[in-house]
Amino acid sequence: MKKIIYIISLFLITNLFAQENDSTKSVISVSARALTPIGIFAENWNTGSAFYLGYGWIYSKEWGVQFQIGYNKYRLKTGSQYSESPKLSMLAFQIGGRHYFLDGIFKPYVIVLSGVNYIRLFYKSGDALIDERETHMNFQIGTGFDFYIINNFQLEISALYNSHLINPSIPYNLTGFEYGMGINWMF
Amino acid sequence: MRKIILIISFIFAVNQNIIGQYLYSSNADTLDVQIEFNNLDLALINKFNPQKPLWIPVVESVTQSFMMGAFNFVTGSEFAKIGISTIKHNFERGWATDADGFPTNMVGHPLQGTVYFNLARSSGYNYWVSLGVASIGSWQWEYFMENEPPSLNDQIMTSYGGSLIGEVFFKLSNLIIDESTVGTERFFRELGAGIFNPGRLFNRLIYGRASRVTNSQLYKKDHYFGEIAFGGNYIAEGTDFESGEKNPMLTFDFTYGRLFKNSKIKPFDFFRLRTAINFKKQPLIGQLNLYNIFVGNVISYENKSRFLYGVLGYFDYLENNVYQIGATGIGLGIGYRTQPQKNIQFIGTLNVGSILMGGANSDYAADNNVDFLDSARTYNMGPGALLKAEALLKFSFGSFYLGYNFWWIHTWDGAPGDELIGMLAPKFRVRVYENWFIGSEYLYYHRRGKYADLENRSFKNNEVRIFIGYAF
Repeated sequence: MKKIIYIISLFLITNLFAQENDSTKSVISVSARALTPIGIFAENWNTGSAFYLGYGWIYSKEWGVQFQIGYNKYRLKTGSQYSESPKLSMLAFQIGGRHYFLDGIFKPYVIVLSGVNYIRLFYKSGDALIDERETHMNFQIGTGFDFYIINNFQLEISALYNSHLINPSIPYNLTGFEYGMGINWMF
Repeated sequence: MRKIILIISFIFAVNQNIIGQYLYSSNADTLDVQIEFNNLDLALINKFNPQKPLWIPVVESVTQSFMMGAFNFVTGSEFAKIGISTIKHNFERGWATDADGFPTNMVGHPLQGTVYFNLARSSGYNYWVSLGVASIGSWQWEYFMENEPPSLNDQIMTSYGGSLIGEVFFKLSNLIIDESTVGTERFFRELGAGIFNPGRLFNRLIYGRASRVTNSQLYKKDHYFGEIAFGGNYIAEGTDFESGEKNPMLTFDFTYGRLFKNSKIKPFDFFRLRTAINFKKQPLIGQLNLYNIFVGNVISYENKSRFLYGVLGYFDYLENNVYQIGATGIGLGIGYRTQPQKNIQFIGTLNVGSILMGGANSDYAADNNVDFLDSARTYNMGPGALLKAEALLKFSFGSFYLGYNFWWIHTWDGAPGDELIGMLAPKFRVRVYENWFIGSEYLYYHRRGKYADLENRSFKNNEVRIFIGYAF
């Protein structure tokens, strides 16, 4: 709960700054992504998929801020420690910024996001049904490009690195890469 | 101690000639005063100091990291022995925390961040973009330049903490730089501005700005008020004064800009910096407190009083032989000041914010290893919240200040629990001759550690400071 309040506060503070710039454009984005775990995370979990809905502001030719919500789901790897089709899903709330290198039809960018993941791991252990739920910070950094299709619509392609912070003292957390494609509507 | 208080009171009581020029200028709070060099010609700035492409400060920051890494490697630091496998492992491992010492994590990393920050700031970028460059520089260091897992506490302290102190360094160096000067004066100005701002000095040297001569006003210089004081402190072991440590110290307080100005408020139009350097048995940097405004709005009333609300940034660092507190955060604040008058004025502020990363000493921290490093630290670390309240009464002969700080640090790494810390600090100053003053400050520290599986701990401590100083 504390982390969600923290993220919402960041969103509100960002909104305060957004209102200062009259030339700001708003953006609504939807995207689908493929998820690939790495490291110890990949020992039990295979590729997954995600769907994101975002809202943001483009301040200038170079800068934008965005807020997004996403649902991530991972597939179990064959031979993992978990049995009988466990489910790992995450609800992500993120805020971040992006820098565009070019201004035109083709707009490559770098992006950094941070936020909170509400993680749910549901599996069977013997006869018992285990439903573990955790809330943890997440971090993403990556690159991509926006490409104008028509008028106010863009096609977006991205690749990001994820690091979800589970617990500082355990030897791993949920790291991996995301590859996405989506549509942006600017207004 | 009683004798010293009596002497101070005697000096104050018999000095009948405290007149006229009061210690604090209220001009900083009015719009009537001519402000030098504040209305800058942007066309002139673009001509003399054009903005560099963003990739330049990013490459400079990465290069600086490589140079620092090479230095660490050559001098035999274990963590600097990096390769492809360590970088790959860092990406697989993701963010963690580290067990570095309190000064390293809470002030050393922010000072490193000021270099990244000012490489961008001196390339023509504003605070926010420069914060982004500092974040990139820090991220690159954490993931690529150490064979230990990337440290999230370092990322936060280096980038955000570094940006707060870095902007202060940038504003201070603006006050020192004067490109109309030549010769010895010019040399010492550039050295003085660069000694605490090496990122900016580097760019000034390579772009030829350190040697060119121009009368054009290119750097914003706002109102400021500073005090440098020398004295001593006495840190008691507890709440009595029978046992403790005496220590000579130097303090530097600096206030920049006008908090209650009516025009549009931009980041760091106002900041307040307090520092204390110790000379004997105490840690060298005893105190570094900073708060600044990012954005805000001022309401003026008919009686010429003003009310402010806004978003502020905070950086706190206190360390002595009894306690350690470190925190960097952002929050909301309100302020009120009465009409500036010669004989008396009141200024009050109240701030509530979140701590992005903080640290505080704990009795149990050393028993909780950072597992993957098999190493313990002496303090707990984590996010939290803060509250700051201060009231200042300014008189013609001096001032009385009362401040209270409260930090709540939720332990994220260390002995599981919460550290609740408060500090009450009344302080008075009396002008004795022109800009010279004497004064005293009392600090009451209290900490309550509430732990999940361990006995709660409570601790209180007194500190007294006396000093003689000069205001400028």
